[in-house]
Amino acid sequence: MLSAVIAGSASADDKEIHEDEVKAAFVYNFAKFVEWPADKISESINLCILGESPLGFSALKAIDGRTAQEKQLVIKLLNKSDELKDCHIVFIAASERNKVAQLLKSAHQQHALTVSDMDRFAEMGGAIGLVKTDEKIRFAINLLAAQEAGLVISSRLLSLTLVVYDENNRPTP
Amino acid sequence: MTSFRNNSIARKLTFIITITAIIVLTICSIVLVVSQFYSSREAIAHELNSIAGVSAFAVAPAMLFGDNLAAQKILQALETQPDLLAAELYLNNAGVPFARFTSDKKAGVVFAQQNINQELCRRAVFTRQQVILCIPVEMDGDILGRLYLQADLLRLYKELGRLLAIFSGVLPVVGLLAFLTAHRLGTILARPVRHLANIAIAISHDENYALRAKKYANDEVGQLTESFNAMLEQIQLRDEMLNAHSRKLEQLVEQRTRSLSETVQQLSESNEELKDFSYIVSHDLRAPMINVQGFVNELGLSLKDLRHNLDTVMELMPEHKKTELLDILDEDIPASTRFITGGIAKMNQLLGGILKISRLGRQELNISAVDTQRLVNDDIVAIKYQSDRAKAEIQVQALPQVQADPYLLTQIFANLLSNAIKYLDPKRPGKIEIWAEDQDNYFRFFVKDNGLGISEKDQKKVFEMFRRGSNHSVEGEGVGLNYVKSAIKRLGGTIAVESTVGHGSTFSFTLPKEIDANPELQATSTNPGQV
Repeated sequence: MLSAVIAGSASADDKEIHEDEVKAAFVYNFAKFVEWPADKISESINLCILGESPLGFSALKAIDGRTAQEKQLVIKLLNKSDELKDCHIVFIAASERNKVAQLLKSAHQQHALTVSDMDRFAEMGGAIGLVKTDEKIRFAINLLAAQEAGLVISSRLLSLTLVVYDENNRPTP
Repeated sequence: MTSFRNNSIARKLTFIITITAIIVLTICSIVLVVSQFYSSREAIAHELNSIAGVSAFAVAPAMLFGDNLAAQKILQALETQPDLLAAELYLNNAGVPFARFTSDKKAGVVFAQQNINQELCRRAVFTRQQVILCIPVEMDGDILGRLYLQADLLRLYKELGRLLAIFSGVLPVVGLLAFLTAHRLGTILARPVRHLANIAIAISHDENYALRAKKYANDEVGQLTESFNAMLEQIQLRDEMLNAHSRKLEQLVEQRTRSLSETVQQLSESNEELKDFSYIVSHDLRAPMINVQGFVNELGLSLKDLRHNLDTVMELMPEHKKTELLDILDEDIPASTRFITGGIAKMNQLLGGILKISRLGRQELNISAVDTQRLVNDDIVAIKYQSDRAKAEIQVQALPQVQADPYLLTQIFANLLSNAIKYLDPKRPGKIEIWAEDQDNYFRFFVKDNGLGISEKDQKKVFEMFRRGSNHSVEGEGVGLNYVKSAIKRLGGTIAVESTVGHGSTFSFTLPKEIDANPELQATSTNPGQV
């Protein structure tokens, strides 16, 4: 089961092999705690991957087609020219660091949840940034970014975050 | 149980009501405690279930993201729950808890074994002191793992203990109240019954049927009281009637006794008179009778003289006149005097009989020991001439010694023997048997003959005075059996006869072994006039 995999990977020794799988599972799990605006809701939850993804084929394969909030998770690998219109979640690879601000803006306009494992992503205005501390994958949430995108993130998720950035872009304890 | 049965109704009622109240209260207490136990347990399980639900909901994201520190924090919040001993969170199929919490009170409990066994979750399992609850942790339709909660039941037992303490405190109070109430009620209920019982006892003791029971209420006892009083009314009425009857009866008896004693007095007086009369008649009639006899004899002598004188005179008479005269003198007159003499002899004999019987009542009894064997033998010797002439054989068996008047007894046997010989059948050899039987208080003597017998019609008459049955061919004064009957009666016995015509007669009579020496009574009972 997925959760077992996560738990195992989160604390196990062979983190090198499974770190991307853990990250993929995290992204999938985020889908369960996010509420999209009514006009954004479609038959599936589309996860769009932008840039050179650190998530390997097998990691994506593991979460592809799984259900969250009774909807199938569909993975789309985007070219740069592609629009973010159908994306519910946008995973931005570290390779796109230079144009993050522009990408975030267009993604938030499309009411997409932005996720990345790049450094200080949430601080930079991304909705959820994956952080590795003490050999464990954790995450930080920027509520302002989520608000910009018109998303509601469940408080249940917030209780697990490492840092939450509020509208003043200050971390709350 | 017997001692209970003998108690008064009031006590029984008190006992029953008190016991019932205590039993009812005890049963209620037990039912309440038991139901309280189960409902409390249910409530604890329910409460635990709510806590578990909330906790499972809260802990689900932490499980999802493998954040056991967060999970640990959530479980730690359960320490505010007073009865919770431990909480453990397991991922599916894991043997090690994902997060756990134990209260300070007890060491941690590991449910790993249960978790691996994959027992049915979402169920409260009770042990004696604890309850263990398991619920699955779900997230978005997926089962992430299980949450186990272990709670102490100490509070439940404390509650039950308090309840029991209250009941055991209340029980004596209720028992006492029940006893007091029952005692009062029992006394009220039993009062009319006790009153009724007291009245009944008083009535049976004093036989005072005028008493009445007081009616207390219109219940069953009241109805009983009414019936009892109605019964008393009847009894009183009957008692009065009975008393009146018995008074009347006493008066009647007194009256009758008086008239009876008057009658007895009159009877004995007339009896005496009759005795005197018969004595006087028989005695005094004899003198003129002897006179008549004497003068008849004189008349015969005178006739002889007349005949002698007429012999010379008749020489001169014509022959036919002489024959006529001789007829009168030699035939007619002697025949008449013969008839007169016969009649007088007959009359004399009858008078003798009456005199004999009347003397019987007047004579003093001379009771002594009598050897009847010898007495009968003497009698047989005395009538030997008669019996020889009749060619009769007399057989005597052993006879007892009795208390009697020897003279009367001699007369009795002599009469019976002479009667038996007199009435033998001349056509066959006579046989007379005499024996006696010992019959309790008396001896019965039998004199049996094989003579002519007495017809049934005459059997009753043979004991009457001057009756001689139908057979007049035999000589006798006609008072024999009447005399015998009177003599036996005088000695306190009775006589009876059994007889068949042509076969013979058996006379039997009794003599008491102890003779009642009451001459007065015997004197009246031997009155010949009564026979």
